[in-house]
Amino acid sequence: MRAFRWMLVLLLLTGCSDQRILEKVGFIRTIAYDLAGRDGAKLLKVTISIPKTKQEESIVYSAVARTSKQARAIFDRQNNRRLVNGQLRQIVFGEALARDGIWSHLDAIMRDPSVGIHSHVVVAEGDTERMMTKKYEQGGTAGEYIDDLLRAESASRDIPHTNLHSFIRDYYDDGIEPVATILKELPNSLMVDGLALFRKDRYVGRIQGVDKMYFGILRDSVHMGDLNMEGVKMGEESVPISMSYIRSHRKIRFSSPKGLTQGKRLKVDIEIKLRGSMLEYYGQEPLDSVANQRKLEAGMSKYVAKKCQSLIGIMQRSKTDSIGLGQHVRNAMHYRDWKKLDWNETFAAADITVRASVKIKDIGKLIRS
Amino acid sequence: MKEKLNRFHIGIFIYMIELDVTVFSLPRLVAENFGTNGWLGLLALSLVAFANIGLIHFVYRLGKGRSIFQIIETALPKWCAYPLYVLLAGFWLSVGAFIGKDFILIFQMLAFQSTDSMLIFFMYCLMAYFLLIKDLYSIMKAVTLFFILTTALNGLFPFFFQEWKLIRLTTSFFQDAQPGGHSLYGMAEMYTVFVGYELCMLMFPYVNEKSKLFQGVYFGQLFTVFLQQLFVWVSFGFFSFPELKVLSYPLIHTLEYVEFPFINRMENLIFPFFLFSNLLSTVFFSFASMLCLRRIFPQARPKLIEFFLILGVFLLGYIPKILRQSELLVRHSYFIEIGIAIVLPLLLLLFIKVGQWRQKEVKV
Repeated sequence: MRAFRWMLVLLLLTGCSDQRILEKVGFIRTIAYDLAGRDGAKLLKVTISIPKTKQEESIVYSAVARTSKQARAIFDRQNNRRLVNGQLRQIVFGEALARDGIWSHLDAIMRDPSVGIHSHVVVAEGDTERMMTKKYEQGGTAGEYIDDLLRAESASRDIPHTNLHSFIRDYYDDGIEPVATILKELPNSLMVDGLALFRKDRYVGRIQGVDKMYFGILRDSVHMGDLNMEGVKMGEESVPISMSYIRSHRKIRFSSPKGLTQGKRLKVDIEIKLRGSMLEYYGQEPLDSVANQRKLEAGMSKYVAKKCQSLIGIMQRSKTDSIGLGQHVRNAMHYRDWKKLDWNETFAAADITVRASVKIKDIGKLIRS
Repeated sequence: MKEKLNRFHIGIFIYMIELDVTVFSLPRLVAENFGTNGWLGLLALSLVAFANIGLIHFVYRLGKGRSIFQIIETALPKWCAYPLYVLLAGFWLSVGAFIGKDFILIFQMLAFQSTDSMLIFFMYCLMAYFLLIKDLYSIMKAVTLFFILTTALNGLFPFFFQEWKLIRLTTSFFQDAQPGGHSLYGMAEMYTVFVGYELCMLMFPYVNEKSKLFQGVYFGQLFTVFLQQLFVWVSFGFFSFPELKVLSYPLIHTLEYVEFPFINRMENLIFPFFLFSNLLSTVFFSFASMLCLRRIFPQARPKLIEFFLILGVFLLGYIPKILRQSELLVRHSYFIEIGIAIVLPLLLLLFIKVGQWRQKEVKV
């Protein structure tokens, strides 16, 4: 009986057809989609990057095809390793394609159980193929560099999570729209240059890189990060200020949603409470005086409110509610009425006011310059 | 069997048998069939399950601890009871087989995609066989171990807090269900997540007064309901509501989110833990089937019935070849099982009464 059991085990081992030998597998780290032609031809340019075993170099393949899977078949014919998606970290979309809509590609990616939901969704400003083939001073492969860059940005809370999970979740949600990170190609490096605002799956607007934190505090509570302000009014003076370790909290109030379906204009009041350590201050007024600190706080509050107001303007012009006001309005309405409402239109027409209250938590180790 | 089960064993038995393939799609089923804040509907349905357990409890009390077979045979002649046993045995065996094959087909979405599903199912059956040939007390020891392994997974819940938002639960109740939701079919589909507790009917001979069988059953059901609620709450705040309705297996998606600095794609490591709970569902349904057959063939050689039963499970595994088929088979066989869970205790009550009348007649 014992011998029979061992024979059975050996017999079962011979049936392992699903082998994954590490040296014979090509892990796709980055996949990029772009339009192959701008003349309306529905051709895709798909580029993939596969790190070599030592992780310092990568193999980049690019092909023009109708679908992602067709391009994959072309790569399979070129590559000596079996391509797998299990370590996919970035899904990059060229700007033009992102404006056209990316759902069909995301759908195919999301459907694949081997793709992890932590993969970043990125909109690239520049040639996606060149971005992936270039050598960067930061070392490693382009894929690894992008991954580290985006993770560092997310960890500093500068940008909201823009991974596959958050993108798909907000794509389906009718009270918020998804966002993705914009990567810009520089001569020697890549830069997170802002956030791409989507309306469903179409890239319709952008938040500049310098304004990412303002967008962050509008979208959610922020518990970490730096806030840079140019030209905060402090009496007659206009000074640049940097706040570190900020914590913010937003409160949303709005007028009764009754009558919204009949075209009534919504009035929204966003109140932001923010505090942080002031570690960079170029003003002349000494900060050891409480009155001066209060004056500065008033100036910063106005500055933050104005900045946020301008971002709301961008979103309203793009008709996309990327900060999720709709989720709050939805919860105050009858679900049936909400379903009848064209939320993005209502949002675009809404009268939204941002008020901010900034408090200096501490002023660092020096009480005066 | 000398050793008797205690209420702890019974409790985890109920939990493990209810934790099967249905849990993978639980939040989707709730979203589809109940709509927004469907957790409340699930909670209400769980009361039905508690009422059903109450009915079985009543049978246990009236039957004074007699096994269901003894109760049936007090009212029915053997030629009438045996075909019923055969039917039950065949049905329970099919349920065990379909659960197992469904799990293997879902598992193959994540790993071993190109291996023949029947080869994996063969190994699954092998494991089921080695469990089934043990006595119930030994199986329960394995259940305890598997329980610890699978319950430990609930420690992963804090991973989702960062991305969890109460606002996604919405303030509406039972809105936007799928067409076909809010129907009897939808409720029955939803109720399939509780299927399994009715097998406690077969535990009557394995317990005594001290075992407090039904304390264990109620506790097991309560624990299951608690974890199901927790999982549904996590999912409704972690995914958006319309997204939940399109995710085939939200559980797998939530597991995909778990990541450590030194390891990612953890779901491939975590998911196989669910093998244990599904394996136990197969084993217990096969065990139920075996009890029926043992009643007909009490003199059968040890392990012979078990061998043929597992062979049957394996052969039944050939019926569903694709996931769509296996899901349908599991769902429909669970519908029948829901019927059995309600009708069988009612029949047993009737048989007990008939038995009592007969005894009175004999005395007279």
